[in-house]
Amino acid sequence: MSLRRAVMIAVATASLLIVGLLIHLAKSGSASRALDETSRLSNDVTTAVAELDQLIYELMLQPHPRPVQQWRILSEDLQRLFQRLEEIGGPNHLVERLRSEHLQAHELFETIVTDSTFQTQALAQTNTAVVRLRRSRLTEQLLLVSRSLVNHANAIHRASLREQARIKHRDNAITIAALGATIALLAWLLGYIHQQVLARLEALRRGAERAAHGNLALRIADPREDEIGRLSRTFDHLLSEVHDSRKRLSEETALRASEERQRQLIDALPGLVWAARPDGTIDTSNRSWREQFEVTPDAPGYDWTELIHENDRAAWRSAWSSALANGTGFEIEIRLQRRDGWCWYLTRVAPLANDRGELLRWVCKASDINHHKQLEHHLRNSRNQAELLNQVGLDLVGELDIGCLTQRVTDTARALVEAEFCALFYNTTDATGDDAYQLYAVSGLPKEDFAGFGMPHATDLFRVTFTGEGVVRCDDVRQDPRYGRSAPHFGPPAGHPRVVSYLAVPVRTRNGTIIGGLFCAHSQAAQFTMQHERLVLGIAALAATAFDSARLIDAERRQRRLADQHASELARSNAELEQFAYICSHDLQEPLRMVSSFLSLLDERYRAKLDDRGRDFIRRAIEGSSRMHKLVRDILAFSRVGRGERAEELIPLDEVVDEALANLQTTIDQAGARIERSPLPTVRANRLQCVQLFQNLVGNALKFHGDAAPVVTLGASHDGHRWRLTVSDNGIGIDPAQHQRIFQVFQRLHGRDQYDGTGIGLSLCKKIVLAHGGDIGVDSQVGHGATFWFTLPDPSELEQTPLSGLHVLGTPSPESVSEAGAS
Amino acid sequence: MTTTQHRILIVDDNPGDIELVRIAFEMAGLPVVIESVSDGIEAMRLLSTVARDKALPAMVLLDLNMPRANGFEVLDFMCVRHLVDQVPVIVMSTSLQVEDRRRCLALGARAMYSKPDSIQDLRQLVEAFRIYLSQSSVGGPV
Repeated sequence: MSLRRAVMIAVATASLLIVGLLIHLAKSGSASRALDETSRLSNDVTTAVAELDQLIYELMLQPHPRPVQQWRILSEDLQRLFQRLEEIGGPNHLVERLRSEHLQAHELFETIVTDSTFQTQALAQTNTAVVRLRRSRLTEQLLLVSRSLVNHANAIHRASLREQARIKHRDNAITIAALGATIALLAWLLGYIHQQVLARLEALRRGAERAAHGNLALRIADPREDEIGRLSRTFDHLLSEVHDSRKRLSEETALRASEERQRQLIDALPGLVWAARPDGTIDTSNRSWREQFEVTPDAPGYDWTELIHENDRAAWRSAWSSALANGTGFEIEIRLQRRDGWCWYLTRVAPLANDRGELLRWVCKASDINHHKQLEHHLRNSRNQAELLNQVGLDLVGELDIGCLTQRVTDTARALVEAEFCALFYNTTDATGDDAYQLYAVSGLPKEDFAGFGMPHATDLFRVTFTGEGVVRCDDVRQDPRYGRSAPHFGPPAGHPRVVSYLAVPVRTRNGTIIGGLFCAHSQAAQFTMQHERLVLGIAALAATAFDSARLIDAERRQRRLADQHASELARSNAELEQFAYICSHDLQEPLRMVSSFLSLLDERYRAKLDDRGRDFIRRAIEGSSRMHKLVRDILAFSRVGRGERAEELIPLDEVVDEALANLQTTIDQAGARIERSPLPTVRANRLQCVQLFQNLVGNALKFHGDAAPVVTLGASHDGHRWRLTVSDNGIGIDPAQHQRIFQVFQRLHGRDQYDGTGIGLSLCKKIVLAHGGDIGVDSQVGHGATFWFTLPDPSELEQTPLSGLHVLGTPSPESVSEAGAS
Repeated sequence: MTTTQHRILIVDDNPGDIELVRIAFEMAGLPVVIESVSDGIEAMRLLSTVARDKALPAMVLLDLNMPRANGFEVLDFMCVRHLVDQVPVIVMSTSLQVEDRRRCLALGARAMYSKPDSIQDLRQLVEAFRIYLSQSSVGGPV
């Protein structure tokens, strides 16, 4: 409820009370006045009755018409008084009584008057006494009536007085109640006003006071929906507005201060600094601008980008407009025209935003990077040179063709020293190494243009280079004392390109020989510096090394080609030889078998028809053919080792020896030999060849026995990476001088009558062992037995490094296995 | 001594060998009719003829090293026509290597022998042939 309504209701209530009271009082006043009149009327009635009585008395005393007259007038007055009483509301019953009693009195009076009037004379003359008596009774009645009238009038008077008093009391009570109510209402109103208005106004005042003292953060926070509540809220709002604006104000002040600081700062900064408003309008530039440039970017009416080098201007403009569009910074290298000339600047543009992310300013900073640029230029040059040198080094190492090599050297030299043309003259020899002659490479000119000038003559100028006296570097070669002094041209030949700057470097090999010269030329003076000289010297050294290595490699290649040729020839001849041996052996067998077969047939069928001598001939022929047969078979076996397919496998040598001994069982039994075995390893080898190897060695041990029964000992040892296997016997032994010979094919130490054999057995053994990557030999003294040993690779090591050079071994036929070769 | 005679085909380019085999059979007292051809082509021609006539020999003695077509080709020919299932083929060669043996067996040869150096060894071999002849289903007694 609003205050206003509350107060209005209260005031209206009080007004109603008071108006009601006044109306009431007015009403009771009129009632009181009526009662006053009643009272007065009743008094008048009393007075009038008293006058009537008086008149009666007068009349009594002296009949006279006047009193009658008067009485009548009075009576009429009384009538009017009664009328009036009735009108103003006097007590009706009393007024009626008054009226009736007056009527009675009036009648009585009229009676008396009649008597008096008509008999006045008579009264006096005639019957005075009687008349008098009657008159007295009438008068008495009249007076009684009159008394009653007075009484009733008095009763009216008293009643009106009583009524008047009652009204007065009631009015007082009502007045007191109304006033009390009004007072209470006013008191409530006061309280209400105090509570709802004054106290809150006080709070508001205090708030305002505190706000005035700077406490802008306080809030009254009156939630009530009345005027003061609204006022409080308005106040709060106002306060917060003030607070905000104060804050903004302080921020702006701070910003202004910081801008001022910034301005001082950017003035103090080295390099160029300028700043722009968010829309890109440049409004600040620092001292460096003013000091170094004719105009500053913030100069009005001037496009400062005219200061940017025309090659960089478009890049700057596009970067700047895209920065403005996107609100992002950028970095760019541009050239600016300073008072003292063009200068490279590294320019950074950055947007400056407040903590709400709103773009405030563009800040641009440009640093002088002229020095860097120069360094960078130098660095790039050096790097290019280094790369060129590196590349030419790599190329020269890989390049073996002298023509390409020299061209490459010449090209690189020209690129390095930026000469107009370069030439490399060098001595070389033909493939035989006898004829020396000179060749050249040219860069920067077509080689044909140069062809007409031939080789450089040993002029004063050229000679120093080819004799290795040193480097010649001239800013203007025409000023050189050695220039133009030699016949036939006295200077460059006609048509020769103009040469002013001149740089000549000898090409010297490692052993000091000058093999050529590297010449650089330029038609402008002073083109070649000390650095160029060093570079060309480096190139010359590289070239010399490349020449050397190319020659070496060429020679090596030639040799390798020869060696390869020899090797392939050898391989072919070996293959042919083996094929030849195989075919020979095989084809030799056929006729031999015919011979022996038919001889045996002859012997069987016609033995009886021959004499002893004939039978002896046949026997010899059979023996010869039999030996020939063995020989052929052994040769066949021998040729098969190293031929045929690869058939290597992991084999336990114990099994191999089992098989070899089984093949030799008859021989062992016949010789009464003892074989002493120890466990043997497993090797990777061709099984049949291993059987043959053991069979041959054990067979030999059995064959070459002395007087004692043969004892053959088999053993194995490991020497770190190979197995060493031994076959020892107690036989006749071998002279150490013969140890090498016995492994050669067809070599025999004994006559056939002593020990039979083809002379192939041990050489076959050697071939087998060598084919397996091993070695074979014998330790022996004559008469002290022999120990044959051979080595085979350990297969556990072979697993890791397979022998690629291992020969592929063939397989022996059972026949050739069955009979061991002998030496 | 049996009176039955078996037909035997010898394929060999060496007439001496054929003669020796004949003598060996004679000496062993094994009466056989020996036919011979001297190269592989002839052998194949003859075999196709007798196969058509259902007159297969009781045994074939086959040399390996022959002109025109060698023993392997003949074996292959017989293998493809299932002749090796009907006729025992004995390979007789001067020298036999392991690979040759394996190859002959794979082609259906019944046995391989090196040609002996003496008539005595050959006669022992002929004794062995007697077993193959007794097993042969064709080329029976004539």
